Amino acid sequence: MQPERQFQKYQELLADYCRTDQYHELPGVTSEERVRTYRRLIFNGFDDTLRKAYPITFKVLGEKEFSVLVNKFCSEFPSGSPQLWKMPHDLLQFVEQSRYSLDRFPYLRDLLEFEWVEIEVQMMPDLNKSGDIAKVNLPVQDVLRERLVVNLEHKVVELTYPVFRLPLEQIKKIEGDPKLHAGNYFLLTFRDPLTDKVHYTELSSFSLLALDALTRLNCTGLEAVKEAMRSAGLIESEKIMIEAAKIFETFLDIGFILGSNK
Amino acid sequence: MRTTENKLSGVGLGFRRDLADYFLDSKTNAPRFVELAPENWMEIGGKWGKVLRAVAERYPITSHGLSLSLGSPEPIDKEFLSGVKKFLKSYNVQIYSEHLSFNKCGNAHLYDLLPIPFCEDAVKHVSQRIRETQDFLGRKIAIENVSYYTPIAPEIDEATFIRSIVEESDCNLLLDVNNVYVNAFNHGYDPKSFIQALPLDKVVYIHMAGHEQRAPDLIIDTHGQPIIEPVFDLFDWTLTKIREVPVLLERDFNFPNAKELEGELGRLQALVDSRWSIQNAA
Repeated sequence: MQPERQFQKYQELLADYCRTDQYHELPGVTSEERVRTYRRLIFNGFDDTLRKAYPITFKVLGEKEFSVLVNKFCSEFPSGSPQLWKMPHDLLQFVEQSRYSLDRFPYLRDLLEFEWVEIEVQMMPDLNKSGDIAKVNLPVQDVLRERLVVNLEHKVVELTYPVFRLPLEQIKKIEGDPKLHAGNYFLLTFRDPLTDKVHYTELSSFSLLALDALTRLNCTGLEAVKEAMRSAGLIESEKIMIEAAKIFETFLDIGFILGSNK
Repeated sequence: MRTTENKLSGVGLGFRRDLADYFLDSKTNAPRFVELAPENWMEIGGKWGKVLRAVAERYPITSHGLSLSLGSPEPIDKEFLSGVKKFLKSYNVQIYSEHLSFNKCGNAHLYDLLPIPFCEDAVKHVSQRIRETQDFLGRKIAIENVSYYTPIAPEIDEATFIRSIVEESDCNLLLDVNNVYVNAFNHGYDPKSFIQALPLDKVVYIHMAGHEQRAPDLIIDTHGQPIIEPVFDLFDWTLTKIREVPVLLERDFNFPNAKELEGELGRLQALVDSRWSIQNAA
């Protein structure tokens, strides 16, 4: 929307300065230094929030590079959410859309995604309805034949680099060799309904298909396995059924399967 | 959802996550109510959703918004305002206030308070947005006098600006006494004369806080320090000029221990009890 009145033009100039650090003359100000106070407050607000949201990214990039990133983000990307805690997601979108320093930091997008998804899952609304669950502690042998309730408070992300399990030094080595550790990785992040703690676990491509089937189809474990095999183009075999049982055992152990549906 | 209906009075404390244990400790009895920013609590689940519900069970709630940006050029964000409306209803919020400033421009949120130019055009623009907001919410809101470090293209003085908006929009006023002190210091005017020029019959809520002196001629409204004596004095004087309303202590970081916090709350409460019981008795 274009400013309609002169005072709105001044607001635009002030806001632009606060984002870009490009000073514009404004009438009636006490001093340029007083106007700079606003730039400092706003930039520091962005910087503090992003450092807290992305502590691993901050450590990997270092203070100087992180500051350059925040500056560029503030200048070029309009933060759209009225909720400050969601603003770090805008940084992820900025890096993705602008392909920010993809050649220098090929892992950056993944690192931000990994750190953001923890915040997103921690803060997401309560989605599980305990009234739907018939048995909370489900024996493994029931998993394949019962209609299962999965924890809805979760998110799966796909990453090129396994940043969730690499030490910081290994992540930094990717800068010199973008093919190092590169692949297709799936990370399940979910909120424990009893403790509210956020957990994550790596998924194989097959377990991702099984999880997707469970979430979509409101089905038994056996039906989810068969759907996963169909999607993967696999022929049913005892070996695959044993692997699938192990996957569900893991889902049960980590609390991702909440019980069976009534 | 609150199950208790408590009259909103006395001195409350802004709810911050770092103070959650203090607020929910059964031994805590100092804050009479809590203030929450809807932006930080809307649609939240998990641990903090549970904390919010526990706090709402125990305390009456006021809400002080952060991002509605009443002074912005662009239209009011009705989707966001719907979320605020739902929050206010869910928690039976008795007072909803927002800042008389702008923090969004060119559809970019800046997450801090920028000064609206003090001019008649801005009075008209902001008043219309307040009326629109009040119509949408089905209730009056209170606007807060913000601290500012420089005016931008001023054509009228700050008190006239605030008074004109309150009159034209028929809204209420949240009087931040610390902000008056900060602005009076930073811009060289008398804080009592300033307060006298405001529509004091429209004050429904008071904020008190600490600040930080960054230079010989500059104070920043940080909410991270104890309230200083001159601000307590100004507060005490202000109480003689308005009828009884709830008072909130704002502390955003650098939190003291519970004893010190309750000391500050207690002092505010003692001043309130002293001045307004005299006023009520008269």
